[in-house]
Amino acid sequence: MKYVARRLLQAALLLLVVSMLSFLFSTLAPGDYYSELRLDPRVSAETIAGLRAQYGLDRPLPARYAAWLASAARGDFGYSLTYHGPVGPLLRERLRATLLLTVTATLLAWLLAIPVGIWNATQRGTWRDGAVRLLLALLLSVPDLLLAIGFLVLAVQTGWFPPGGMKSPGWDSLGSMARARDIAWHMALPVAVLVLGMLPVLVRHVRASMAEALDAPFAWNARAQGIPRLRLLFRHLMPAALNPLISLLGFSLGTLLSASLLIEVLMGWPGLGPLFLEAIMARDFGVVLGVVMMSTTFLAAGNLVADLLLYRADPRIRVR
Amino acid sequence: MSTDPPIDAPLLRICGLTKTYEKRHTPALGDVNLALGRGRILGLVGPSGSGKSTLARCLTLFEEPTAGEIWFEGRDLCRLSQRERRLMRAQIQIIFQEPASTLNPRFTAAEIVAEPLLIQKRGNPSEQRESAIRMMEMVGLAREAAGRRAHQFSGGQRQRLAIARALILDPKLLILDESFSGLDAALEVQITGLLQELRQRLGLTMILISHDLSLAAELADEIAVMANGALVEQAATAELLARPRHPSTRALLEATLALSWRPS
Repeated sequence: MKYVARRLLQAALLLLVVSMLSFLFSTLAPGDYYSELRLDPRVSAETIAGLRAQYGLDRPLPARYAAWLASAARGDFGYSLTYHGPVGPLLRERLRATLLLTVTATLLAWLLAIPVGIWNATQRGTWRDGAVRLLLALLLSVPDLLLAIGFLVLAVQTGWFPPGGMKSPGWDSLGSMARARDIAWHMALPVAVLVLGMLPVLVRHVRASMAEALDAPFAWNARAQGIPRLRLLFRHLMPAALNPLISLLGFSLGTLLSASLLIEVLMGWPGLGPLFLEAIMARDFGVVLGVVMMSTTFLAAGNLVADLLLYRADPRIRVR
Repeated sequence: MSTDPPIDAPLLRICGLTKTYEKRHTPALGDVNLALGRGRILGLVGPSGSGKSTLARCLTLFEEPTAGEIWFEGRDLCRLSQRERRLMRAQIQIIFQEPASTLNPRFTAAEIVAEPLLIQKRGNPSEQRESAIRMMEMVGLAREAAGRRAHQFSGGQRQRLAIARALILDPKLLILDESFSGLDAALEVQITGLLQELRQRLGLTMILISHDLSLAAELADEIAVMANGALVEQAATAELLARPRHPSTRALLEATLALSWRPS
């Protein structure tokens, strides 16, 4: 319990520091939301000053930060000048769309990577292992962006998949099963791009961890005892290979928000990606800060989950 | 009709054992012949790469010999079915080099020692645990240590744990493959003492593989010398030390004497 409390405190401190730095950097960046208005001769300097005063942009940095902290404590996470409302509800709506995509993709990628990586490790030195590794290396060298464009071209030319978006027109009038099917159909391509992007790294890690476990002296000893394959795999090899994979899982969880930003923008998925990009372009720092804080929260939570899982999985860490 | 071999027949008889690896020109083992009587300790010595460990791997069914026969308890190990192999593994146990690293760090001491029983499907879980604890006590580990994990034991205790695991199935042959290289002198004395005691209590037959002739001479009734994959000399320990015939034996003996004369 003490360990968990300490880690939670560390995570809270991390969030605080990141929020301070983000706030500081956002003020260091030249211009703000009203900078472009200055170029419009119809808008007077007084009007702009009035608007800046209305939204507190003229107040000193510590006061603005304190106000933002108070707003974050209420769950609002500041104010969006583009959307004229608190950032919190705006992010929550987009968050659901992003998580639908990334959780599905991450789950699928892990479900594929574990058996492929294990199989690969058992096939070390054979042509089968070489073929899979070559394929993964090729996949790793193709940028996600290119993959996404390729898939979009495929969608447009074949008509098998929608070329973007999350729902078909008239989605609201569909039954619940048809709605789910429609979203799944829209998800197929972005999820496929994300899975293919994650797969090479995951498979390589699973393969390396499993190869190390296979070579561990205790695994040799178990084989000398004539241990059945499944028991060797589940009782000896998988627990031994788990530690680096748990750390990687933490990273996977931590990047649930950021992994798909680019793909969302490219494939028209109404998640955090397009919102983040628009906010940066419009210098709507409230939204930018909200997205950064949410990503950091996920990163901290991912690390925390990984540490707790490691604590649970490895008796040596518990004793230490 | 019983197929048991006569009681005075050697426990292990190796005839013309050869092992050649695909990518190597010279055989790792070439026409090895060896016999070992029940309750005897054979020291298998030789420099690194002489084929000692390959022989151990063939005996423990890790490697398929290219040619030859390994007769154990009247049966040729090279002609066993998968099921017979699993059962035979219980009869021949091996303790590898650095036995401490062969203990799964996630298992408790009792789980480590009991696992061979589980693999061989002997007894229910509580019987297996009780046998494991009894075996731990036999090798000098306290019953209270059963729930501890490998990293919570000292180096010597981990060696004892590995020995307990190797003996839990009541094997007929115990192979120690460089198991004590790297131990400090005090620990080596402790472990060799324990092995001698266990041999007397259990009537164990052992093959002690070592590059250290003095260690083998301390425990073994007879010594076989290997060089370049061949068994070049086998004789009673005293005889071999007094009258080494093969140049490799003489070289090993000279190296051992030179080391023992070195001022400490």
